[in-house]
This record gives sequence, structure tokens and C-alpha cells, in this order.
Amino acid sequence: MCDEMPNIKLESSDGEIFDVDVKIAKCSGTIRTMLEDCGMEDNVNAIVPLLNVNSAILRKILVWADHHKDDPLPAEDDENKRTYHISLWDADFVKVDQSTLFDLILAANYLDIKSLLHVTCKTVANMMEGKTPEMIRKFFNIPNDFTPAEKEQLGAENEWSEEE
Amino acid sequence: MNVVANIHETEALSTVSMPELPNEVWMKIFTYLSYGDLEQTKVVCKHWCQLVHSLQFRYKTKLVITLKNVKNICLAIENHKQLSIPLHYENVELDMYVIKSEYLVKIFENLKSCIRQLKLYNFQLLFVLNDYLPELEVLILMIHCERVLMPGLDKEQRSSKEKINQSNNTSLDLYKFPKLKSLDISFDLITMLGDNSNDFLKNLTLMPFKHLERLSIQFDDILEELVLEVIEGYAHSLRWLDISLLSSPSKFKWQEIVKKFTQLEVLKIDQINVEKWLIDVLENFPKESCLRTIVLGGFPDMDDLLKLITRKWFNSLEYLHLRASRNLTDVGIKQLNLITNKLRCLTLCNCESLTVQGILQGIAANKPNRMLCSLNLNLNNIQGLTEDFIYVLVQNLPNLTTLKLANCDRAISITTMAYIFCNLTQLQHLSLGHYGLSFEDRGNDFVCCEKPVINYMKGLQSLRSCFCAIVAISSLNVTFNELRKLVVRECCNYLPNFVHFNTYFPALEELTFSYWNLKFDCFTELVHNFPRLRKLDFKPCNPISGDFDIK
Repeated sequence: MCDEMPNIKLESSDGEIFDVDVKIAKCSGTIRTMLEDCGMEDNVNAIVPLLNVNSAILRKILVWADHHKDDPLPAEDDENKRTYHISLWDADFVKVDQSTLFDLILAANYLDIKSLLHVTCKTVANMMEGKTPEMIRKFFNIPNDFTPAEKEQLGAENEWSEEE
Repeated sequence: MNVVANIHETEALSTVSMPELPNEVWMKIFTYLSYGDLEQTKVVCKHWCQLVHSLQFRYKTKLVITLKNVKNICLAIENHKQLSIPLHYENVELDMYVIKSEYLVKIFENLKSCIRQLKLYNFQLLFVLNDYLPELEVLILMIHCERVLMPGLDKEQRSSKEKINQSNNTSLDLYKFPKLKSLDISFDLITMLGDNSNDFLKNLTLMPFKHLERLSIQFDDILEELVLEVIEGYAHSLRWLDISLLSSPSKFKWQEIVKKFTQLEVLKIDQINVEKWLIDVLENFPKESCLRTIVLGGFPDMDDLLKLITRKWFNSLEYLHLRASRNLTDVGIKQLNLITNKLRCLTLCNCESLTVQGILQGIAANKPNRMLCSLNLNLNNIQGLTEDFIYVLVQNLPNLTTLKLANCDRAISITTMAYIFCNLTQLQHLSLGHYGLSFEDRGNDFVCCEKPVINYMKGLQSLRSCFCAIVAISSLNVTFNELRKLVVRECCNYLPNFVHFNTYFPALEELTFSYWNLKFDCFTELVHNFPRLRKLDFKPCNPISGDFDIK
């Protein structure tokens, strides 16, 4: 049964080759465009090089893509982003350490996988929610580079900005 | 350095090093944050400050210029130039006090290329700011009330007021806002402009804007003719029309004009008490019109109106709002059944001729209605209201994101609250207002439902209810990570210690509550436990009361 679906080969940045169902690979907008634009679709032996994704991350992404291969394509631009909920499976999938999560985001961005980018970005946003600036700095290890004068300036600004 | 130590060091580094993501990805992450979270994010570091600024100017904040802050804003404009974080606001509001025009000119000069929306209380200021609004798309003119406006103006302000009045003689050039899409003058024009209202309307009839999509206007029979001319001129491009007549409208002209409304999607009509008027007007809408939103004031023939609306726009109507629909009966509301496949938002105010059964039959007759996501009902004087109403409502409207019920005391208890929390998993806004102390305690016999369901109940952003809700939450042990706004009123269930409820609402920004014996150290503890709190408003018996703005 599986033989009916053509496979293609993806090459990670560290040189590992992945044999992947075309349907799964096409979760990625980048790969989709490559296949369509370069006419690689019929060429079974073609190898798609993915210079920005290492094998560990690519393996994870393929697991994600396999689970979501039958999902409908997401709407182009949904305005009400904050209302989206992350499914339990996805929530479990992004339970990884911070650097892996950021690698996943970078890969999803590079490979143009919108729903994965949504899930991972929303996860980072959730981490920031309800935190004070100091907590956020500590969490992401960001140095505070404001001088006291600039800080005061920003404080004053808050007084005349209002929520729309 | 040995190898093991080296590995430990790199591990430590990799987990704590500043995450490097491209700007566009950080921007994407920030779009998921609320206004309050963005305010926090902005002060994390300079880089993020710049990103949030460029994001915020697009949609989150507006600049409110007041007599108090206008000098500071001018200073800030200078400072921001040095910081190389330019001030960006697309949305600006001027409050009703007279602000010295040279300050305004300075601010507007700097924001010139980005202002898209402007709200004004003082119409005359438009003469001064005319030239600084080339990108203006939305203009909102608010009522200018002399009594509120004038207290204790010093000399400086008086002279600026005179200066503005002088410019009164020059005519307003509406052609300076070529991109204007939306004009909102939803109050009495005469009160606002006096003798100038005729000139203003005449200017409008010359069609100075290429593509006006949205018009809100209030008028009486003296101005009706001119207003009709304006509306007719823009009839082909209008997508939104909000009219409010202060006198009886002329029937025939309206019937002719609405025939041209091919693009209209939103129609709001208020304050017309003429029998059959609206029915005749709506019947003349062109066949291809696709009204998505209808908001109506109190009309004498509500049942017939609803019949016409549900037949004519069953394929497009998503939002229906009936204000003061006293004569709407169960027969009328059953018509809603015809449009349940499209209708997403329903608001019924003062619908005292309805029964609970009628409402349920109208919105979710036999099977669950998965389309409706916002329901706003005032159940005052409604017949047959019990807890069962909440159960059936929740069962039949599983996808509600907003639920607002007023005067529903008889249906609210810890049990119904818990039922709502467990079953309406998409809910973002819940408001169950207006309680007396009348309803009895039904005990805390609620059985906790399955955990996975509760896990979803995280999206709630605002909650207005009595203490029953809080007690239900504590028995369910749910955390509302996104809850920003909480309004609690007294009921028979007294809270032991609200101060420690921060575990349930870690992101709370606005808190309002009433009738509570709050001691001062409680207050400081409250501020400490809810670090995000921006607004606290409470009315206790003692010892302290009032509004506190925390900053």
C-alpha cells in the first residue's frame, strides 16, 4: 500500500538522508515550492538539501508532519490569533527544552510550516504570559540594557498609551 | 580545563544563552500576547522595545492627548529622536479640553505619516490639524460639551481657544483626507456644529472622499434632506451605515436610496418609532445585498421585522443585535431557527415578552448549535428562568466564546458555574451581571469532571460574576492563565480570602469587586500577589474605599 505513494529524499544539514513520503514532505511550503518549481516531483531519486535543519530537528519535524498529514491547510491570515488553542498532542510535542524549541521555530520558519510555527510561537508566548519584565529576562537570559533615564522615559509613555 | 567541565559549561550556556530568533519570528510571538503582556515585554530590553513599538503602532495602542500630558508627549518626541525609537501611533485621540494648538501641531507633524484614526471632541481642531493627516482613514467626531470643557482654564489656554475660534472663518477642506473611509458623527449634528452643520453636510455632498465605506450619523428632519443626499452619493461604496433619526423619517426617499446599497454589510438603525417604516425600507434592499450585521433599536413590529430579516438574509446574517425589543414574542424569535447556520452573535436586550423556552427554541431548537459563539441576553422579567436554562444553554451552544447574561440570578449557583467552566471550553468572556442577595446557597456538591476537559478551559479572558464563580473555580482547581479582567459581586457565598486566589488568576490586570471587608494589609498583599494588576476598583463597607490606580 505504502509503495503507491512516491517518496523523496531530504538531506539534513549534517548530511543525513531521510526517505520521506511526498505528502508528508509537502507540509513544508519551502519543499512544496522546490518540488513544484524545480520539477523534481517525478524524479524519485532527487535529494532535497535542507541546509538550515540538522538531523535531530528534522526527525522531530517529520514526526510532527506525519501526525498532521491529513489536516486541512490553515487559513491564510487569521486575525484572532489569541483564541487559537493548542491540541493536547501538539502541547506534548513542544514539551522540549528551550533551545530545541527555538530550533523547531527556526526550522518551521525556514521550512514554512505555518501550523507548526503557530504552535511553537504560541508556546513561547505562553511562557511569557503573566510574567514581569524581570522574570522574562531571567527566563530567556536577556540582559537589561536600559539606562535609568530611558526606563523613566518608557514609564512616562505608558501613561498616555491606552489599550485600543 | 578538563573535558567534563567543558561540557557542563556549554550545557549551561546553551540553556541560558539569549535566544536568537529573527525579528519577524519575535514579532510573530508577540502578536499572541495581550496588551498587558506587551507592556511588560516592551521594557525587557531595547531590542524588544523597538520590536513591540513597531508592532503596537499597527494595532494595539492609541495615543490619548490630554491637557495634562501634552507637554510630556512633546518632550518625549524629542527624546525618542535621540533614542532612535521613533514614536509611532496610528490611532490618536484628543480629549475634550482645549489643548494649545502649537503643541498639537508639533505632535501631529511628527506622527504625520502614520495617523490613520483620529477621535476629536473639538471639531474646530480639524481646521488646525487639516494639513497633518494625509493618511487619515477613520475620523470620529465626539460631542463637544461646553460645560465640561471650560472649568478653570488659565490665560494661556483661553488665548489658544480664541485662536481656534478665529480659524472658524476658514472653511474646512475635506479634500485633504483623500483616504478617509470611515466617518463617525453619531450624535446630533446641530448640537455639535450649530450653524455650521449645513455647510459641513453640503461639503460632504460634494463627495470629497473617493471611497467612503462607513458612515455613522445622527440627525433630525431639518438635516434629513442633506444627509439623504450624502448617503445617496456614497450608496455604492458604503459597507457600514449607522443612522439615528431624531424625528420621523420620510418613507419614500429612504426606500429609493436603499435600492443602491449593493455593498452594504452592516446596518444599524435606532430611534425610529414609525410603524412599518423599517419593514418597507428593508424590503427595498437589493436582492444581491448581503447584510452580515443588523443592529436595531426598539421598533413596534419586531416579530414581522424578524420574519423579513431571517428570510431575506438567512444566507449572510452573522450578527444580530436587538435593543429594547419589548414586543418580540416567542412566535417572532422562533424565526431565528432559519438563520442558525450562519448566525454567530446574538444580543437581545429587554425582551420581556419572551419565555425561556422561546429563546431556546430560537437559538438551539433540537440539536446543538455549533455556529453561535457569542450570546448576550438580558433576562429581566423573563418567564421560566431556572438553573435548567443554563444547563440546556451550555449543552446546546458548545462553541460559545462570549456569554453574557444579565438579571439571571435565579439560574446562577456554584453548580451552574462549574458546569459552565467544565463544558464551555472555548469561552473567553463570561459575564453574569446584576445579582441581588436573593438566591439561596445550593451547597458545594459539585463533582469534578474529567481533567483533560478542564485543561482547555484556559482561554477565559474576562469574568464578571458573583462569588459563586470563584468558589466553583476553587473547587475545580482550574488556572486561568489568560484571565485579565475580573469583576466579582457579592452573593451568599462569602470568600474566605480572596487575596490568595492569585494561583487561579496569575495574569490578572483589572480587578473590580464590591462589598468586602478589606483590611489595609490585605490590600498590600493583594497588590503583591497580583503583580500585573493595573486597575483596582472596589466598594467595601470599610475601612477604605475608592478607586486605586496602581502604577
